[in-house]
Amino acid sequence: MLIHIDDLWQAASQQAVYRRLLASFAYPARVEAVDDLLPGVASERALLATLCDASTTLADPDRLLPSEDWGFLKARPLDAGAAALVVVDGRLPAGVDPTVGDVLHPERGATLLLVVDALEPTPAPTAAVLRCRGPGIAGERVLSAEGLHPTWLGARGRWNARFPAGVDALLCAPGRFAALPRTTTVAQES
Amino acid sequence: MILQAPASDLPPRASWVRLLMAADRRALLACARELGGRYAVRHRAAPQAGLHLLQVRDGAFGEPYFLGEIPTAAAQVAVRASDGVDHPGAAWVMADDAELAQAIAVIDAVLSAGLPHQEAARRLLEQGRAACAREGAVRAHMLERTTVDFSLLSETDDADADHADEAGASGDPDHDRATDTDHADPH
Repeated sequence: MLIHIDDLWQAASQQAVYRRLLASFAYPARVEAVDDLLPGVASERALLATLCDASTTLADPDRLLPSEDWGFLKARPLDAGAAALVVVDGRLPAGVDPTVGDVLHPERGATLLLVVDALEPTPAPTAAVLRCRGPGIAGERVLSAEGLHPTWLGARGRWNARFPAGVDALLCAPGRFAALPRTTTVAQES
Repeated sequence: MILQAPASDLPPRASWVRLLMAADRRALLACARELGGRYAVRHRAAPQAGLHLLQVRDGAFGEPYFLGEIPTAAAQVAVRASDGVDHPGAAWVMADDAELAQAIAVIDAVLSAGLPHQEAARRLLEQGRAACAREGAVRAHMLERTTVDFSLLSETDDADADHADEAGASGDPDHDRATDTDHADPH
């Protein structure tokens, strides 16, 4: 290659991240790492680099992505209410209304990337402790999301009330992420 | 640093890719590497190479259809001058060669911004122009050889008709009979 290009935009890295992404949806609420694949790269950037191309639509209402990324992602910018992928700051109160699709077209429901401070597979005293159940989870799985604003869980419940329509979520923390598909029921430990 | 203004003696920018594609590939890559050593060059989008499905519209009804696949490569770069200003360059070439697209994009940025140290790039443009001119001459010659002078056919027809008229008016019945037979329906 004549000019250096970051690993984030290389096919080999993106394929490796994609494997983790598949695993995360197969085993909801399980913490998956990306820092071993892309050290120092924000997990939401790694996921978007893997998921986006010219046919996808993306909203970044909180301007979390570096402006240079848009040229590489090639995704079409859209309003958060219409985009297929929405990246938002999960530490702020829920302020978007993503598309949920409908019964005949549940695939049109958006995928939300919620950026939080940290994710742990065990209860943490200062974090939002999520007790998750559903397909892909044997019994119950605990996920601690440090910094997650409590309003997001209520909003998620409303979006997923008319299953199979709904929204899939990816919680993104530095170096790691976890999936919360719409099939997963989440109860927050008080 | 004082930037050189884009020179008016350069060919139109729209022709640069075609001209540079006609230049020597090795020299083109060397030139881009040399410019990459002088300036900070970064990608603005991931370079891509592969097949492109070419869609066109038919001339009668304007309906879109796929003509076929063509190999293409594309690159978008930014070349940072010493004053810290980024100058964009891009190339979309008809070749499955991402490295070539990057090299042309770098040269495009340097030439369009009028940056210094563009002498080698200018020589490549000139080399490409000469190569295109040679190819154009060959094609023109080939085209010339396919030319059909329909006016000669017309003259031949006229001559035949005149000859037939003269024979018909001659009063020679044998000649008139032969002419009728020539025009008779073979079935």
